[in-house]
Amino acid sequence: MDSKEVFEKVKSLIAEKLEIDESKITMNASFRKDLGADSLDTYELVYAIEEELGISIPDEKANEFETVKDAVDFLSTQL
Amino acid sequence: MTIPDLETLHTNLKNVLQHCVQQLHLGEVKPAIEKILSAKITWPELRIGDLVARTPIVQGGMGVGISLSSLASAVANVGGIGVIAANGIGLLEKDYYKDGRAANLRAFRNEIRKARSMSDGIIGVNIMVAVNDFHQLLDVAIEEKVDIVFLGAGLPIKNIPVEALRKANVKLAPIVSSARAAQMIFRMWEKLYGDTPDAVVVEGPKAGGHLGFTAEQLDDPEYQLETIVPLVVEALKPFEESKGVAIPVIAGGGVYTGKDIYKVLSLGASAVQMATRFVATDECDADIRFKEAYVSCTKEQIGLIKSPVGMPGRAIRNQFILNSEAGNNPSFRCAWKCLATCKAEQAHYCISIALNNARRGLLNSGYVFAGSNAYRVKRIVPVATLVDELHRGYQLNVQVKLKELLDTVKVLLDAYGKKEALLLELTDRYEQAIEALPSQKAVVTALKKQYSKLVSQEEVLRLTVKEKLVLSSHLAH
Repeated sequence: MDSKEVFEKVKSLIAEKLEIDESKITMNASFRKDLGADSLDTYELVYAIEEELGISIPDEKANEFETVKDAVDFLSTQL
Repeated sequence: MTIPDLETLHTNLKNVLQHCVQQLHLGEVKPAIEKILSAKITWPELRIGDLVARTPIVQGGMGVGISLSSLASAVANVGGIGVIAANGIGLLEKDYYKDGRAANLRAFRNEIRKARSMSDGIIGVNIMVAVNDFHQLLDVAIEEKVDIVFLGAGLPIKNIPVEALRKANVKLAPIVSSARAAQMIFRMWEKLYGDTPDAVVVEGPKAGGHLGFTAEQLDDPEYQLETIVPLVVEALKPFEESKGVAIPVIAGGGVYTGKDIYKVLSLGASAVQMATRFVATDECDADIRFKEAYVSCTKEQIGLIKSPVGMPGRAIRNQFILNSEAGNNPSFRCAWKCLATCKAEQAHYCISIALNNARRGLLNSGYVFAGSNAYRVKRIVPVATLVDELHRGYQLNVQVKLKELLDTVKVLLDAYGKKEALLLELTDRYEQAIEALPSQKAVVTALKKQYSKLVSQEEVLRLTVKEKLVLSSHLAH
């Protein structure tokens, strides 16, 4: 899966979990600062991505996701 | 109204009155009140499954090395739950810088065993989920069969050895700062393990050390302990129902007096978690200079720091903190990167080492974590003395509340007494009325006689008329 496809998938999950408009979600958006996610949101989001994409994201990796791009880049290497 | 009517009414009234008196057992209420007032008020037990603490106080885990075997066993010995903090415990060992991980596990095991040798009471441990040796520390706790593990600084969800915990009968309680976090942990546990944790510690923003809140949330009424405790209690109800067991909530963060304990318990918590007060005890494992920092600090000195681990923390703000904030700190050394997300390089100090220095009394090379009430500490006492004081404070508040309730009962009783007197008076008047009846009866009888006479006269008259009529008709034909 290329990063564009991953981004599309991740985008809809973020919109659903954080209850925000998809248009707000860009590659450079910061989960915390721009999308208003707190640590619990992040946890839920990571879990939802794992379920949806059928992969496992180690906690230490998940903790490093600052922007949407960080997550997409990591996921692209896994899929 | 006829005489039988009046008599029936009187009987009914008497019955009603008797019924009222019987139902209220008036004679028994007053001694019952006295009995309640003189009864001995004891702590409510904290039950976590088959684990029963007769004192509903969990001593909060305090790292680095503030709550070890000495404090934990002392608290366990007075019926509470003593807690050894695993964090940075390897700093007690000489080889921490050579092999931090091995030192941590060794020191942790030693302290658990020491605590066990000093107490038959309940010994728990506190492990931070976020640290790199979390799973190994948890394994040690299970191997050593501690009574309960408290897991904070992260969500204990993934890769929890639930089966091993159950097999060793080690209870597990996550430490959370919101109902939402508790709910998420419980939901995920059900999904992943078909099980749920045994209790929940909810820590409010007035706690000491690292806090599970953002700096903005700390003063927000929405995040205060008294607001979040009932929410957590409510959030756990469905899980209690589906599992068929009680999941006690243990609330902490700013609990200082027996009155505070009473208040927190009346919010629905089953126990409190207290840490600050246990620092100022003889048995606390820290150096006397650490404890004295609590005695001598002022309210203004207690404040927030931005911890290298990325969370706010509450501490006694000293020169070391001011120096680090100004960017001029002594040489920085990281032993083994114990926390993946640690930003020690930016803070120019390792928090474990700073806290360990403070534990040793070296307050210029570190700082003292403290709860928001630490400035209220006046002296260092034995754990048993502290818990006695808390117990008395708790008793006093229960008594005040009881007295309040019983006073209400007394007011109601008085009101009832007045109603009763009124009823008796009414009954008297009815009785008098009935007694007065014979004279009226004579009148009625006289009237009746008159009436019968009239009736009979009328009959005679009617017959006469009829007779006359018949006669007349005969005559007419």
